[in-house]
Amino acid sequence: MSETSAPADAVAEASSAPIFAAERELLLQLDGVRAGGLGEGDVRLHDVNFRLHRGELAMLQLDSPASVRGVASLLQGLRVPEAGTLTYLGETWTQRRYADQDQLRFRIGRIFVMGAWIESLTIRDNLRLAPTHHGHSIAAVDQRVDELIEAFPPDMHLGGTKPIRTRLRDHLQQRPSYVAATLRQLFQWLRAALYPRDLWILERPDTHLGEAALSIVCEWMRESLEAGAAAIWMGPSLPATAPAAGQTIAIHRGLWKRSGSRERLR
Amino acid sequence: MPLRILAWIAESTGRLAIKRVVGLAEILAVLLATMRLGLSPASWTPPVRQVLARQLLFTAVDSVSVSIRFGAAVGVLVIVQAAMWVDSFGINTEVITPLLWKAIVRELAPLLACLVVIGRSGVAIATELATMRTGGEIELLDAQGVDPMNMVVMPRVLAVVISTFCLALLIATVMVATGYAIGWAMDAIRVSWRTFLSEIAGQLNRRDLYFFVPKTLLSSGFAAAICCLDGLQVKGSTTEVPRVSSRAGIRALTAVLAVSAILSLVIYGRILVFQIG
Repeated sequence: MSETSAPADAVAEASSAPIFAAERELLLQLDGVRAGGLGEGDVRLHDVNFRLHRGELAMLQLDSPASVRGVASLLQGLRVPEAGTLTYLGETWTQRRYADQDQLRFRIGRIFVMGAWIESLTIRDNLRLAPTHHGHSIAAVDQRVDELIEAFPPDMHLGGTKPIRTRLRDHLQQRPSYVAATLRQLFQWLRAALYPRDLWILERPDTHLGEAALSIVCEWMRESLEAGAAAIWMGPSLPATAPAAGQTIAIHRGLWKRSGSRERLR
Repeated sequence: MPLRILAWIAESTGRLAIKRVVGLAEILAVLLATMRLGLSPASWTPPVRQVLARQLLFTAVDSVSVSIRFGAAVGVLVIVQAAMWVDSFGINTEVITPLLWKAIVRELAPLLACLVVIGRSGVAIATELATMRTGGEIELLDAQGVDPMNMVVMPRVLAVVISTFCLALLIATVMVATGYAIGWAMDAIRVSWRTFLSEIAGQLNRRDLYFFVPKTLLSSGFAAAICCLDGLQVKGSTTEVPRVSSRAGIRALTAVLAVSAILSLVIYGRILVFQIG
């Protein structure tokens, strides 16, 4: 598959300041990482260097939409780099025990660009799945889901005749394939915000969502960042309501380039 | 030229042998991981217990009626054959009963149970897992910190093993009951039900149990592991799913027969009717 070309000039404006100016804990670090097979047509990364600290939002602009999921999985340790080291909270994924890897991944809130749901389960069971597997009670999950749905104003509509709150509650009992794309995307945000996170990996998280809905879900992310999480937003641009990106990186033909600079990160 | 042919034959044989050994190692790894996870209380989280319960419902409970039908039909076939032996060779019931019992307990009931489970659940498991894999659901679980081996594979393998064992007992019972009913109606069996049962109970020896239990557990374990592995190893798109499912069914069936043959060798020193050594 040929990669979609995206000129380096198209990279977003110069990066804004991160939320916290002070020195924060290093969360994610890539040193000379090389990886292949990240999407259809064997999308590759070449010698990538990258740092992400707590409280920071980084934006990744990928020239190949097919590689979004692959890059996200690489960052989560689900794919092993061919070369270089990918360190998360001070250790590479492979240095950790499987149980520890699972615990750390549970603390990563991720929005998937596709294949985001277990299709045989209802939305509610999908939301309960990981938390109950990690020892949280069903009642606590349901309560938190309810709290997050309450964040939407009672008179807010996103298509349809019913307010969004009612529609979200109604669709909890549905299987994902019976739920409208907008609601599914909101449920993904809701799932990511269910529990305190160390990292948010967001694959095109603004898909299907308007400004009104984005302002609410971005607020969840902002609160999490202020509590010490970090976030990686993968998409062409950040919405106006999102926190400012600490660094913006364009991935073009497998090479990472910082915003406002043509310097290759190596 | 002959050297090149010999080299090609050696290379092909070697490659095939390595492939088989790797395949066997993968199956054993799945079975060992299932045992390890199954014995760890931490693995039994509510969602995992739910998967086990659903799989038991589908594989064992929903298969009861078809197992009874299979057992009854094969029980009739067996007793008709026995009646023919009685007529042809003048064999009496005392000779036939132990033969029937051993054939049922040692071979037919476990094999039929495996057939029912592979046909109903093995192929379904392979299809489900392959669909999950191609739809990105396995990666979704992993990304949420849910180990697919723990959540997807372990409960399914255990459910298949438990279900096959229970269904094999059910099938053996149905075969014996049907065999007696038909044999009595055909006047091939002329003893009372109680006598018939006590004769059968008298035939039961420890070696039969040594054979029945491991044969059922191992065969079904291999079948379940193969179906899970084939489902999870699917590559490409959803169009690959039917091919993988049917292949998994055939491989599982082959494994069941191979395990039976190997256990026959190990436990009885025979393969079917042929004495070894």
